[in-house]
Amino acid sequence: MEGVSVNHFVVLSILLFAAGLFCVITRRNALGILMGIELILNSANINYVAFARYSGSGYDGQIFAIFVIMLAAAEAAIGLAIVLGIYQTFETIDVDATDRLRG
Amino acid sequence: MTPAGHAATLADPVSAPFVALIPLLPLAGAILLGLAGERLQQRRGKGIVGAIAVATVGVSFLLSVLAFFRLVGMDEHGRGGGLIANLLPWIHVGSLQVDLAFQIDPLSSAMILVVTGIGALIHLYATAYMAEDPAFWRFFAYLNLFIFAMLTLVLGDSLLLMFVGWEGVGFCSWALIGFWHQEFANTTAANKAFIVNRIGDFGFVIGIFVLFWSLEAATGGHGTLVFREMRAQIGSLEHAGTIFGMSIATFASFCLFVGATGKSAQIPLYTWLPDAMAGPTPVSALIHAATMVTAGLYMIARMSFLFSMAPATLAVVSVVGAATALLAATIATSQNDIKKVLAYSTVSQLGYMFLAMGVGAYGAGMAHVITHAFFKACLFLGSGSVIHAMHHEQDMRKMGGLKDYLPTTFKTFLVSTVAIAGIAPLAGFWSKDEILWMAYASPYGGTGLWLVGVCVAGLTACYMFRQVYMTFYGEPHWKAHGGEHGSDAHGHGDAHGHHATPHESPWQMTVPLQILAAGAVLGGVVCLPHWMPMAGVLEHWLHPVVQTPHVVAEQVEHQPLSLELGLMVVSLVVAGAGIFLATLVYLWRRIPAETFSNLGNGAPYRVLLNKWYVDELYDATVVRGTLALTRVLAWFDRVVIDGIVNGAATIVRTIGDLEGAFDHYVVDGAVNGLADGTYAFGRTLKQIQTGAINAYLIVIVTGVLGGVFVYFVFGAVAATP
Repeated sequence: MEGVSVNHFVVLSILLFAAGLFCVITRRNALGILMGIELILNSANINYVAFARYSGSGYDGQIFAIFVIMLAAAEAAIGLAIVLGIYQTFETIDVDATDRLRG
Repeated sequence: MTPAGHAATLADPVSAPFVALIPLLPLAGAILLGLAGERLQQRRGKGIVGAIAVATVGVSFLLSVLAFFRLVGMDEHGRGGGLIANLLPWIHVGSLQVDLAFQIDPLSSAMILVVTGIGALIHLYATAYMAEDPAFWRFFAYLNLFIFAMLTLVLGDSLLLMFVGWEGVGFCSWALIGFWHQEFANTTAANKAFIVNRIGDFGFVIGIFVLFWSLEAATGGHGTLVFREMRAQIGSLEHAGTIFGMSIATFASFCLFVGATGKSAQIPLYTWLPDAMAGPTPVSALIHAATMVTAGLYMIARMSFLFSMAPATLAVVSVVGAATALLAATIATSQNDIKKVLAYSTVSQLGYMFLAMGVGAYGAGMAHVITHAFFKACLFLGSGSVIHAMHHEQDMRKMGGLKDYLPTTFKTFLVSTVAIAGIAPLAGFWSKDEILWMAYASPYGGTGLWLVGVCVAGLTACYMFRQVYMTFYGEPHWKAHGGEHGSDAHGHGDAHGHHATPHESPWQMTVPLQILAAGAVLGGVVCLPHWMPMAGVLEHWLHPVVQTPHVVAEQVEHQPLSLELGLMVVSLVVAGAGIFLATLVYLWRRIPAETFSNLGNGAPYRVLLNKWYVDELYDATVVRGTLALTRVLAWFDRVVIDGIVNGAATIVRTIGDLEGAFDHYVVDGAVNGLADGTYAFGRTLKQIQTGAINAYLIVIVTGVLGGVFVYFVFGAVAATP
């Protein structure tokens, strides 16, 4: 593990964040967008754990990561419920079709 | 104040609530008849209407008699205070304390006996005279209201309450002159009477104001209009300064006298009285001969304490009275309308009374008021009886020979004529002679006034007997007239027997005539001269409240009795000559009447026939002047006032238009512009909100990346030292 520094984790997290962001922006399927959000959250978790591990400041980062996982679960539940609601209303989960709030 | 030194010590009046009933009963009758009279007349007939009217006045008369005897029972001092019924506080403002109070003292008790007594008789008479009239109830409502107003005038204990009655009788007079308002001439006569009276009222009101104002100033804030209090304070006016160069007493009494000339038909305001004959004859008898026209004299007697302080006013009063007496007497000699003769006779006799007042002989003046009330009411009612019998013909030239057909009317008429002509020992002789004597002997009088009075006495005797002869003696002209009478346009009286001989009137009319004729015979007892037994009853009776000025009494006392008797004989001879002349011309026809009418090419006759052209003069000056003034004022109103008003309106309108434009374009423009701008801005902005999540995310990410980029590039630069 000597060759692995915090920079590697940051790069990984950036890549994961970019992948998630790309997924969120480009997907037209609502479920895809939720998945992208999971990737972004998890890229943040990697940062928390990595910086906690390398700064040596106890387990604060890990605890935060567990909170974020918990939050992601809740977010997924709510997000899925919204998607279900959208499907019942529009009979589709294509976000381009659900532009009722357009000005 | 020496002339009436003990005047100030009048006793306090004794409270006697029944006094209020005397005026209020006729008022109740008037209200009842005015509101319910028409229904009453339809359901119960005219009898009940007439009965109510006569009964209210009759009971008032009985109460007046009762009050009279209460006064007789008092001593002279207490009589001066008399009886009072204080009903309500009326006006209590500052020092002006006027109550609705009726007071009976010797003066007012004498007046109300005449007003209610003769009033009741005339009411009775009118029930027969007006029997054919459909508006019977209205007539009696007004007649009762008149009695109420007259009694208020007489009994009111202050000038203000007297003025209420004063205006009240004016209104009733107006309503009754125009009673037959279907004819335009009658309403014109009514309006004339009212308007001419208003001119006099103006003077009266000014007099009231001046009196209150000056008493207020002279007593230091204790002004009053109550007679007995004014009497006590009047001395304070002696040195109270002047108005227009006259003493206050002179000015105030002159203003009051102007009021009296209106109500009592004196020069220059007498012209309404002859025209007032347009009213039904009982009205002429009651209002325009016996009662209302004496209001001015009553007022002067009531205010005698003021007039006694103003010899200048008294001089004016006596001269106006004498001039009126002469002027009216001359006119009366040439009139052919039976009522017009009596009207001018009334004006002339009222002139006598003013002459008496003017020379300070208040008692003699009031005595003539009373005796004149008897014989003039009798004459008027007699003429009414004639008119009734002649089917509403009033022209004496179409009468004649009526004495056999109307025996009672004739006898009473003749008695009253003798009385007014001043033949002893009838009532008119005593009262008229007392006036003539005072006019001669008083320091305020003189030979000139006496001479005018004697001339008037001769003229009176002459024209009154002319009237008697034309009406009751000679050829019955109505017979020749009767042939066309049935077919001509005004045959409205023919329902009860045209062509038939005139017949005597019913008892309701003849009984009052007889009673009044008795009064005309015996009325003189109130004013017998001092050398007779029972001398000067009325003067003595009035003494507590009406006193002859000291200077007058003193000078008259020192005149020799032979002079007095001599002058009396002269006036008798002159009156006899007047009668003789009338007899020569109109009964024996030794001298044709044309001899006089053609005198001086007929010019004097035409002047008299046209009443000295006074009406024409007034018409040309006052009436036309007023009308011209109204036209000028109307023009002024139309051009100037309307111009100002319209100009102001135009200016305001223009300003309004400008403000409207400002509001429309500037204020509304600003508000709408703001709204439009906001709207347009919103429409532009809403295009950003696409509703596509991806687009939002792109914006967010771009924004965050941009922020990070700016932070790192420029923040780093800024952080570099």
